[in-house]
Amino acid sequence: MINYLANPVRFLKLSKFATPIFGALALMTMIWGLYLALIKSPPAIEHGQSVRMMYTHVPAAWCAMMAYTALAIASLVSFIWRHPLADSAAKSFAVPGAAFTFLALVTGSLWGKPAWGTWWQWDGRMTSVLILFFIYMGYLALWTIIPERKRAARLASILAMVGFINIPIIKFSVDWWNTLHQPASISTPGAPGMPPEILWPLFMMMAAYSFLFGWLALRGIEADIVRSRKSRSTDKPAAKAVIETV
Amino acid sequence: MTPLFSQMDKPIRLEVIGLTMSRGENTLFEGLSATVGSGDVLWIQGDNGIGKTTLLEAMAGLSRPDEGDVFWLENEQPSLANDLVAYQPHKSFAKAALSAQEDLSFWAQLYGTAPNVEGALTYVGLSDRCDVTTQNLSAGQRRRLALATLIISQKPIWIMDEPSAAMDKSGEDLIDGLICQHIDRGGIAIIASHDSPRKLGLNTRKLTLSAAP
Amino acid sequence: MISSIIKRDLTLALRSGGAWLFGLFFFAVFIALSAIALGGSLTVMRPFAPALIWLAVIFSAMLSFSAIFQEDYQDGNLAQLKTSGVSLVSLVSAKAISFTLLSILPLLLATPFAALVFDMPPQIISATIMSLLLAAPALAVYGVLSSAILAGRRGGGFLIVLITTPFLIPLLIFGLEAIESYTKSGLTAVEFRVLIGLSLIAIAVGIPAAAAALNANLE
Repeated sequence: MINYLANPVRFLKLSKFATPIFGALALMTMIWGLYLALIKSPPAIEHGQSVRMMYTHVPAAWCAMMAYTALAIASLVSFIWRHPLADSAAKSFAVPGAAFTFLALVTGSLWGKPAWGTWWQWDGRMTSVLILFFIYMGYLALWTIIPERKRAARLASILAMVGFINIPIIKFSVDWWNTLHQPASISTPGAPGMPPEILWPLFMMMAAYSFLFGWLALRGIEADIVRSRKSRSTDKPAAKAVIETV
Repeated sequence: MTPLFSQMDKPIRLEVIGLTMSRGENTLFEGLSATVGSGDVLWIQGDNGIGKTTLLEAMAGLSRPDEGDVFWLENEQPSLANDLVAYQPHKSFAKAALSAQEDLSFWAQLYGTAPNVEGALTYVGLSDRCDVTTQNLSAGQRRRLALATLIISQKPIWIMDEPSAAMDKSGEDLIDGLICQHIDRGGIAIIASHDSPRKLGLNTRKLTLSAAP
Repeated sequence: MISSIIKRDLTLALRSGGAWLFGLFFFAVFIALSAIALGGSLTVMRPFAPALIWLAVIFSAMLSFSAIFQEDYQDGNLAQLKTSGVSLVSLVSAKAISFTLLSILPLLLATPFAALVFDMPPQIISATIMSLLLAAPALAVYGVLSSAILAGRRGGGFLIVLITTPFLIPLLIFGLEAIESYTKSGLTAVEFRVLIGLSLIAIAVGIPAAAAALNANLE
């Protein structure tokens, strides 16, 4: 499967169909999800209307993590098999991944104002998401600072993999730190006993964000393939080598 | 203490097959093949920026080919570049704050050869500069120090990037003498240079890289 | 081989005209600035003293990170080391050890003096040194890793901070928790064991990753 898709031409052929499908699915689920989340679902008892922020926040945080997992897998493939397509994929996962992380931070902060009374709380979740954002930024910065594409891909993949191993450790540390220093923060909805009228819109928004991520990633890979081809086509002809006896 | 030029008993071969290398997005050369064996000298010629250093780095196992392969064979068995190649880059890699003697001793320790550091320094004409820090050596003297590093490496394949740059006449003679000694004992010398190639052994060839019309 | 490389690094550092001590000066400046910013009252500063010392150590170390491979990369020594047949894992380990000796050890030795200016109780001083000591291997390894990734890049200084910060956060958290628990349970506090674990994980993951990064920069 990987080998089959590794050929950029074949990939472009496939993505020509897949990309619009992802786009359409993203649009449809987004509209439906937003309708469910903003209009149909009831306001929560203790949170009031502000609970609706959850439907944009939780899927963003979830997608941010999913994007990083995809990024780590692509990096592993890129590191082991040196597939240029895996490089494109890793890079194209990182940009929307960072955007979703940022969105999770912003929506979390907006939600925090009515829920906590402050724009920011150093609670375990928010802190972890903030650190994830730093990791994304470091990864993307590495791509921009190294001009040689192959080398950048290789170094970035190493950083991404080490980062992936560290994420659970960071999460564990931050949770440990948080439980020691913070009074139990206001419970966030997300417990297993959630009623279906909350669960359904949440589920729909998660699907919408995932399709959106897929669409953005596919667009990114396509653009990256085209870009790397373009820079190749400006080649000056290769030198000629002749061996003679002296 | 081992002699400076101990005999190489095993036949050595460096084989370049279909090598394609690029710098950035520019392809430097494509499908380059060459074979160099024990006792051979290969001069590499070409204008600035044509890819001589890149070719040398690939031959030294320091650059990864885009396509094609480089094989380092000892006794017809594939071996690692690290085991067979000594590389003299264009720029001196001597540490400024170390004396010539200290710098050379460090590399001797790493190469793990029973080193004759004084002998090598004398051979390249630095015996009276042993204790001078390398930052106080002239450019030519630093090149001589790099030649001494080649000698103590005891590796069969010498890859040299413009060894005669900044060298005086006696320095050029020293290089020629060194290469002759080295190929006499069954070594290989690959030299990128702007000088006109000199016949230094029975099998001396030149590889010219030239821009395609 | 490893010992030759370490010996050469130490010799070069000692002949650098004191450049290896800059990190120590930075440490002192950071402590002084913190005291000034916090108003200079010992009762106010005392609870923050371990945190400030930890931050001073981390920032001082981070500023030294980029230098680990910079010079060796630019003057061609790394390429030469690679062709000489040194395994990159040994090279990276050697560099981590010389970094610990040259850049972290002086900070650990300076910590008791920093503790004096904050009037820290002796127990907290030993806890602080202990926690820093156990975190030192991880600090050195992530330094070597980030330096290997950014070897030879100009302006890598800020980026190195960005890249290493996420990896250093668990150390910072458990280092300071360990100091807090020390007063209750001494060295048996679980946080000290976590610090050892973090250092071991850093070595297991970071050393091979740093070797791979160096290799990527050399090929």
